[in-house]
Amino acid sequence: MGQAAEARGAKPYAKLSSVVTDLARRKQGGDMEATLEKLWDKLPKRAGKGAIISGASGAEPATSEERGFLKKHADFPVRATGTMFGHTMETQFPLGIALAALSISRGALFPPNDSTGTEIEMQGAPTQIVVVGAGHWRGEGMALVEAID
Amino acid sequence: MTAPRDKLGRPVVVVTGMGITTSLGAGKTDNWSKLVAGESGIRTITRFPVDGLKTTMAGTVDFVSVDPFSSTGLSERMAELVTQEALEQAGIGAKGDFPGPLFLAVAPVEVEWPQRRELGRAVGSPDFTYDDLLRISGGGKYSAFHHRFMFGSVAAHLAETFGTKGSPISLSTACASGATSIQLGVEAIRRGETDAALCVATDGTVNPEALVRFSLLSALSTQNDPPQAASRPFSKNRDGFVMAEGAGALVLESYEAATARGAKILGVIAGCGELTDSFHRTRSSPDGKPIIGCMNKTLADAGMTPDQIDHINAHGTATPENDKMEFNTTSAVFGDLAQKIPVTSNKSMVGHTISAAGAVEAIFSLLTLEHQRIPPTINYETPDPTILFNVVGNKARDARVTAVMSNSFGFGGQNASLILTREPA
Repeated sequence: MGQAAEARGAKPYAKLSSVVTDLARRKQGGDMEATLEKLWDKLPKRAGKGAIISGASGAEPATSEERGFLKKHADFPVRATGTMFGHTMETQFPLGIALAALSISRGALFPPNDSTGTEIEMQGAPTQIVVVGAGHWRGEGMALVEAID
Repeated sequence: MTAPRDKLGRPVVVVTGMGITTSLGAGKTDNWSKLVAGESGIRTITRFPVDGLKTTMAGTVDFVSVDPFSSTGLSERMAELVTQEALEQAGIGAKGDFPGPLFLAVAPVEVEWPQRRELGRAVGSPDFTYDDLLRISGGGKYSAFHHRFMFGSVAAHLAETFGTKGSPISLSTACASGATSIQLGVEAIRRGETDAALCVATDGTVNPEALVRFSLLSALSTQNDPPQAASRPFSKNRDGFVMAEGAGALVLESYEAATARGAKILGVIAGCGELTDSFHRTRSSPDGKPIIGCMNKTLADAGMTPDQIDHINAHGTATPENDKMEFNTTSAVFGDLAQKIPVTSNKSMVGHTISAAGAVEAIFSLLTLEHQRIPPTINYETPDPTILFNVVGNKARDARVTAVMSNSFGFGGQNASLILTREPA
């Protein structure tokens, strides 16, 4: 894995193990949350410390549905990039992947920045980070970023 | 049964459904009969006032109505029509349940003048700022505009209507977009991710702003009278392309999946390739290297040599630069064969359907293979003596055609080519 990068002497930050996408119909409450659960199940997560980096825009009802999904996976501390970067539309998802790779390479998730209690402190180094991109109107995507073995 | 694979061991990708709409009409039958008869779909624009414009004609699709009208709305409606036609022919999946992903080539999207004017009226004064727009837009009164004018909105609509799987891909690679949508479908099937893909390309952007922009680039023909004679690919007196609207849809399947369900195979996408340079935002690199590389990559992808190509469906926009560049680069790849292989430009009749062109012309290429008849390049009265293509001028030509190269060479050096054949090699 990563032979081309190693061959030219590049230092990898992390491994992008999987990217999955879907388009929930979003006709009824819960449609989007169900799609996020399906995507979550598709990611080849392993035992070990994990975190979630969310690109939630704050637009409703998408963000409330995503909040419902996040609550079910409360063992993964959450960080929402919109708090610091605003909603960068198409860029939000790759931004999340970059922050996940940086966090893994540095051996620590960045600190929480949220007064609602959704973001909590994380102890120790994350070995896997799930990046969540739920569009403000349409489209759901997830990526699994892992430490290099 | 072992899976039929190509020379590189990948699944063979075939076409089992096609749908098309252009300024010539709706559907394959109508388009093909008019195309081989040498009819033009170019006419004087009636959609908006053309006073003071240098270019007053285009290949508009006026027989498809959309209310409220917008270019994006027209693109969406045409995409829907051609997809229906393609799915009916393919007979794949169930209604509203297509068993694969959607790749959609769609023109860039922006809020258009009727909607801007409506917002202006709501503000109520001739001078206003961004804050005023935010004030009147609060509360979701204009959320329909927001949804309409997002790049992904056409694809989201098609995905919901036809039940394609996963997140639909909206893409824009300028004039190569239609070919790119097909390339993405081919590659998804070759990777084994899916047995079928829906590739759609649509462009309904003949509006004042787009016309003025291309006009300011000096890219458009100004030979307005008669409009049918404006688009003159490979002619000495060519002076630019003619904007046009249209859409094309192709159902792609692995050969194995198509034969397993007994589908009729309409043709094979034997090869595809792309190469882009960053030389200039509109001009192509003067050395032609990206175009030459694009054609060579496509031949290599198909595992074919130039002598196996017996027809070229050219990009042939009729801009002074493109057609010259296209002959020189084709000569670099094909050598003397560039002067022997019959070449035609569908744009002489349907105009340049921009984001849709790659798919529209791929479908015309497949119909050429089916009918063994090459549509003409009309308005070919004064050949450019420096362009020594064997142009199928003015009258359709019967020919033995086994493999067609269809080229799309776009602004910004975005190039994509396809090789289409009748049967798996």
